[in-house]
Amino acid sequence: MEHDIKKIFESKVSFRILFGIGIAIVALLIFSLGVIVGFHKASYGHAWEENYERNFGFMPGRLPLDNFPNASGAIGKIIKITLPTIIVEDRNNTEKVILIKDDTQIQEMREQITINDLRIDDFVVVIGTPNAQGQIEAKLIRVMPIGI
Amino acid sequence: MKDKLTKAFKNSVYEPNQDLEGLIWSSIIKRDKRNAQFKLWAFGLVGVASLAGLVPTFKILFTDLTRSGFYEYFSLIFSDTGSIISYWKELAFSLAESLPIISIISVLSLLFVCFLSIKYIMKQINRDQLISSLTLSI
Repeated sequence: MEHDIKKIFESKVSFRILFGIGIAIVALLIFSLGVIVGFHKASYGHAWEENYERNFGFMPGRLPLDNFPNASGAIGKIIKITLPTIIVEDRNNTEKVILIKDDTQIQEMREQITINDLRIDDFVVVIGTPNAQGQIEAKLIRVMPIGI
Repeated sequence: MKDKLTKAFKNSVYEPNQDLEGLIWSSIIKRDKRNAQFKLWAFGLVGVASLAGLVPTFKILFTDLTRSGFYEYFSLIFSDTGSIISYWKELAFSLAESLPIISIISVLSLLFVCFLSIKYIMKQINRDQLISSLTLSI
């Protein structure tokens, strides 16, 4: 009996079964990661469009045609500063409202700067968390050197 | 009549042609060689096509990586590692959302086809050499 069990687990078939299970686990993990990221983006895209008029003050805009905007960050020039929020024009011409909170870390190169050091036309990289108002609550804002 | 016929067949001895074995063997080798050469050309063409396709696909991938802002998010890792550890979740989301998945899949698929073709070409060359050595030994 013990010999049979040992034989089964040492066979090629058992290796293939384990390999198959392993691949299925990895595939499911990647799939669930895709679902989470997709949901995250879609939720932000919905909130962004719903609150467009309130955030930007004019006619509702349209989402970029090919995809939802990046929900956890923004890269681009600061086009408006109305503290505690700034508006960044993202890569696909999407305006994003960045909410700066007390715990937001603002850096220029490796130096810490304050909220008042931010200027219009500064090129920034922002990472944060999207909220229900279609804004991104910034955790880190990094002012990039001009020309990058 | 039937019995006589059976007897006649039993008494007859079939003597195959002396060259028959060699002829069968050489025709098998000839067919194998033709098949191997056909496969070699087919895999060669697929390999060259996938290699040529890799150039524009890589260009598209780099353009997409630049346009999506992946490089900028990625550069944050090197800006201040200490603070990035506290915001790893936001950074991971930003990186995942800015990944140009379709371009990456295209590049990886072409690389896969290219490597597979090279592997089969090598296999066919080895097989071709084996067949040639068999032909010489006959």
